Amino acid sequence: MKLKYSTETAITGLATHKSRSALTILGVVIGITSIILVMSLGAGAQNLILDQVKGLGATTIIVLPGKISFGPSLASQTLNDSLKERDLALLETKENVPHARSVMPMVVGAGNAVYGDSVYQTTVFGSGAQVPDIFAITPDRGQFFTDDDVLSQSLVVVIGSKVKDHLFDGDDPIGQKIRIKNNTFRVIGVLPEQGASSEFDDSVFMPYTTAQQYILGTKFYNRLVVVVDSQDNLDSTVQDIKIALRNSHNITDPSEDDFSVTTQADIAKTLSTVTTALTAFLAAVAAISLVVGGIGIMNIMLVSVTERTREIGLRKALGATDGDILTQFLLEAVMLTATGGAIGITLGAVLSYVISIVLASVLKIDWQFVFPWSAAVLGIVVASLVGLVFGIYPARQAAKKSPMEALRYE
Amino acid sequence: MNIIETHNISKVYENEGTKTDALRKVTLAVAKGEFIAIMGPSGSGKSTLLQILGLLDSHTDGSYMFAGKDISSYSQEEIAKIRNGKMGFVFQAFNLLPHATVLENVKLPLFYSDIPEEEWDVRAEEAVIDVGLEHRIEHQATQLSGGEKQRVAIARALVCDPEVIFADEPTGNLDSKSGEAVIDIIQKLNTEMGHTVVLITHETYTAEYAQRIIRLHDGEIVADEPVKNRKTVADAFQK
Repeated sequence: MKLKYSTETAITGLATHKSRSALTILGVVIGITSIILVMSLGAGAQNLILDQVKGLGATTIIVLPGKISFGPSLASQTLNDSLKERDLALLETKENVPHARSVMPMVVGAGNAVYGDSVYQTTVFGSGAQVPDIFAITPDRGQFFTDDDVLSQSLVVVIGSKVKDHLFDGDDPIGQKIRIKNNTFRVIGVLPEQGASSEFDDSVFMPYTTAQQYILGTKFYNRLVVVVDSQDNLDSTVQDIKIALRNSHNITDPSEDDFSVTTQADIAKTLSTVTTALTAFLAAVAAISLVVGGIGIMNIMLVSVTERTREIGLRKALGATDGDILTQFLLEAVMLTATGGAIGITLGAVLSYVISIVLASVLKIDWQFVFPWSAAVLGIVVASLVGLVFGIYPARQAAKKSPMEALRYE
Repeated sequence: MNIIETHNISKVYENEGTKTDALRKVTLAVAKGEFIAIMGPSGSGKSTLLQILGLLDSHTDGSYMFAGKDISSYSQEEIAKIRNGKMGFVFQAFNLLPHATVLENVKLPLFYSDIPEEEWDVRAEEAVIDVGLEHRIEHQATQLSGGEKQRVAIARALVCDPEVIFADEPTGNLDSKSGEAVIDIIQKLNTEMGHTVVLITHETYTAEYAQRIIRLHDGEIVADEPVKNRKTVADAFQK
């Protein structure tokens, strides 16, 4: 029998029971929709992470104290004192790290910022004056502190946008005094809003020397940020830093390192591995609904085969072979699931698009809608396969019917 | 030349250990172009015989030659092909696809045939004209009367230009007037178009349109005689 006719017959067969066909494919639609949604959002999240990491600069190296080698400021790293002033001096020396354009120490603490009657809990970052350069953020009002402020332990702060909103409520903060841990600081700059994915909105920046002296009372750093002169020198600089620090810390065995060196590329890789794994896991969970959908298809196809016993018998009496009948019912199943797949892909893409717009506008992050073409192709293939796998049993039942049994059936 | 030749064919049904003999050593021959009627009370095995002759069912013993060849040498695919190209079926219950049009129903066997697609419409239309239903060609099967449905079924049986037409109680579900119209067409298939016809009926009146009547009783042939005063539709109208 011609495939064209088989297809027409299958369409007629399905169109005769429109609402049943629609209900039958619901499982497949839901399955494919979830898979597309998960994969599209996963790809969006990955792009967001990569963009942010790129924003931080592909030439940035971060030296963290302690052994743990990934993840930002864990508790053990905050408390670890292995990075001290001499290490900063070491890395600033051209002979040790020839390609370092700048080295910036950072310390992190927490404290309540107080202005008049308003109190707001903030993260206190002590940093060098290079922050605008390294993190690509410049105050939209006032300015960032200078190297002189760092040297002289000036009592100045640059505040994040939420800190400003909560403490000043519309007043101009520049030149105002706020108190943190019983010390008074002059606000010299306000950072623009960064959005939900950034911790800077809730933070205040002050010179690291000031933070060490007045807020933390420590002598060590929570991280050293090294900017390399060119991306080509990134890997060699990582090695230079390790060698310099090991020499200084008297470490011969690299596994004994009391510091870790990561690049933005490493962080990006780790994060994208995590999102990929998470996406794959969620997609696998969504795929379970496809199996359920497939069983639904099988069930309905079996009902359909029984219902159409007479039709099958007639077709056989008129010359249809077992193969013709098998093809007809298999095509019906595959067309059902492929249609379900197509609807699912459309629905998944539309939902994902809406979610990406909501995320971008509500959370103020630069979330891009990504249509996962590979997932769409996969979706159609998987949906058709579901039809093939779960359609084969009912189709064989149909093909096995003897023409006489089938014609006799009432 | 005989188109159908059986030699001692038997059919035994087995149901939960009890054996039932539906046919016992039936030997018969049908010549090309002949019109025979098979008669018998219900349970006599006449339907079983038609199903075996029409290759819809298999016999348990004996041999069956169709068009000079033993059918036991054919594969399932070849048998499907013979049913499609050399045999036409008309059933008591019409067996039309209810949601398809007259033309679509008549075209059905063509989809399984080797006849080129360009000829399908012409052949189907000719067959519909042969049974006089050209004014109903786009109607759905459900909109037709019983007699019209059976005429569609006859057109469907004709469309691949078969050697033999098997008709299983074709007038059984019809009133006498529609039944006469149907039997008229079946007789014309034989007399005017030269098709071999094997008709099953329990009405002597209908059987007498054939040239020869074979009577079955308990699965055995008890009589095989030519019809002396063969009926034609013209006779019916004269009454």
